[in-house]
Amino acid sequence: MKLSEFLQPELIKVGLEAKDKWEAITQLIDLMVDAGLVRPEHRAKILEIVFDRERSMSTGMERGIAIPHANSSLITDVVGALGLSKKGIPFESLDGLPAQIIILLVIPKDKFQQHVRTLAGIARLFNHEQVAHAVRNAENAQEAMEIIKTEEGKDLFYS
Amino acid sequence: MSPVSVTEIRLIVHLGLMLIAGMVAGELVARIRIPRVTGYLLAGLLVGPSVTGLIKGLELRNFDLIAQLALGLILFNIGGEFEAGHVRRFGRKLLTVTLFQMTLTWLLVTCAIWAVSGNGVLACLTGFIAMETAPAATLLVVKEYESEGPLTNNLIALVGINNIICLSLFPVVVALLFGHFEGSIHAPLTVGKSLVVGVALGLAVSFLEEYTRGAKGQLLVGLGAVTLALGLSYRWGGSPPLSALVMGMAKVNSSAHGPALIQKLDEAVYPLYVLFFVIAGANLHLDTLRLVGLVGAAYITARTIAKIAGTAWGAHSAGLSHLMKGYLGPAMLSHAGVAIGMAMALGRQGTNDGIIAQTLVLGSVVVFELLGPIAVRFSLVRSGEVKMASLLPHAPGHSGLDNLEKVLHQVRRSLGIPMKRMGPTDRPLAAKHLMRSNVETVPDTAHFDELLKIISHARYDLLPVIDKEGKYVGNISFPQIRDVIFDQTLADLLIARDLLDHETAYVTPDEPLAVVLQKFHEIPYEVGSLPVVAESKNPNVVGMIRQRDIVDMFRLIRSGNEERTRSR
Repeated sequence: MKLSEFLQPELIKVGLEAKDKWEAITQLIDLMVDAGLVRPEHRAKILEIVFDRERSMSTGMERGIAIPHANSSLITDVVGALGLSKKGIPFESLDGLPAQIIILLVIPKDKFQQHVRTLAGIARLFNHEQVAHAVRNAENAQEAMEIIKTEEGKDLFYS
Repeated sequence: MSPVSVTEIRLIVHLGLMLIAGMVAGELVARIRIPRVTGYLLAGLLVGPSVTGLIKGLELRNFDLIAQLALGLILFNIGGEFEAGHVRRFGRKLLTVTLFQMTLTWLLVTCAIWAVSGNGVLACLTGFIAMETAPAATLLVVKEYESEGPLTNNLIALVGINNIICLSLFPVVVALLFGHFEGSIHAPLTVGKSLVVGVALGLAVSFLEEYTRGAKGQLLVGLGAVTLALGLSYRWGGSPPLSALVMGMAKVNSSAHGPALIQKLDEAVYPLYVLFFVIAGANLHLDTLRLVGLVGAAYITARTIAKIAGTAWGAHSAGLSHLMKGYLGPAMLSHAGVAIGMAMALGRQGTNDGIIAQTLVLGSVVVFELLGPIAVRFSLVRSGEVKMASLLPHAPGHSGLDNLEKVLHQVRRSLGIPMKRMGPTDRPLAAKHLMRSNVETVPDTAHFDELLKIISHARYDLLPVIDKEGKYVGNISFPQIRDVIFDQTLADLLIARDLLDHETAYVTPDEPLAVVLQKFHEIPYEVGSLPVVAESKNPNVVGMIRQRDIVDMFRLIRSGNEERTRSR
């Protein structure tokens, strides 16, 4: 499954501001709640699951990319949100650099193994410096969405 | 046809006597949870010259050929455990353990014998022989209990390395200690010839195996090759046991079928192994044990301490687990076969020191031959690498009374006498009886790379995952993740917890086998093993159970019950 298949402009926040990764993740989950993809009564539980996963091992990768994720039985389809921060947010990344592109994924518990390939595809997509640069510098959510759709349409990143 | 001589008649009778006595003694000791190997040895002791004299000392020489062949087959089997992948992964650690163990054994035994006897040459000779660990007894105990796991693999590899070193260095050591300096130059030639014979025949077996169809062809090739290796090595001045060992190594690393032929051969020649141990038991010199006195006691004590302590020390230095440190040492105590051969070679030197060393070793071997297999069993069981069912003295439905009843039932049936219906035996077995308790679990925070490493040497196709408190949280099944596991992009992104099966499948220790088998069938993907979890507030993994072991056990039970439920 590609990122553009479940991401929408309502789930993209350009100019994300947060003092740390926990605040950033909270804001992205709020996007999911506001878009009606996560029930308000499940917000706290899903936050706890994502935080718990993040505490086990940081999902901050290299070159300013972070892909926090967790699996939950409280949703039936994969939900994603994208945060973009030109300044960068501390994410305990592998290379110590702050994260400028944060893709939060919450995956149904019984489908996690299916979506492992999705995770890998997203990681490869944003590891491509040209793509990352373009997305990082998008003016608005719609532009970011278009860039992702175009790049994923080239079929280079998913196996 | 010329009449059969009395000698030949006695030979045939002795063969039958040894097989039956071995079988009976093996079954009897198994009932008191002693390895069958010890029973075979006791049977030999009983029928041999030390006790009843049913088989006289000189008559035992008639069976030298069988003993040599059996030893060759055993060493071929051990050589087959030296797969290159395992050696590459563990070779350095095993060499470290070997170095510590053998060095400490030589040092302690040499010092002990020197302190008691004051004889330096005797001390050095016996110190060297003390290093040997008997391959035959060790391997047969492993097979009897169907032991499986890292300790078992390491034990067999250590025994193999031990024998390679002893067989290679012994001629050199003897030559140097007895001042045969030409012999010390010829000794490496002996080793070289053994290697050539072993490698050449090992490769030949792998080649010929491709032309065989089925088990019968493989048996012919295997048995023929082992006998050829022994014969050619003798003829050419090599070391036949070393040739057999090297042949096994060459075969397993050059054949597309791995150790399959060796395993089939092993099953077919079991009567030879029984004969080997009965003969070995008959050759035990109880009178010699009485003669060795204080020197013998020093040898036995020093060797026992050195083997256990040296192995533990070596395992610690090599960074092996606490299980290895605690249980590898006792499993290395068996002492026979090759040591007896070395002792006899010393005796043939004709010198006083050589004869005393022979007497000392042959006397002490009595103790190690009888207690060694028990020590191996202890280690395998305590390390959790043996199913409880393998420890049962008999299979369900196959007790002495069950078997007698079956025979009577068949006699009645043959005579047409009406029989009462016999019900099936009712001995419910549960998961705990077939599980192995030495199980590798995965921490839920294990990084992807760590997970890959565990998977690469896992014995099971499913790994139980635990949290930081040791509580069971679920499974990772290799069939479910094999499509994605080799994607390097995920290496920095995933931990074990991310790859858990969405449905947690496990069994509990007291669940009957029929229920366990049903659980296997209910899993939507193919998996060969399940964790055994003790349910409580903090569920923990207590073992792993294989579907194959359950099917094998049901087959065994069914064969017992079918006899009992057949009626007129």
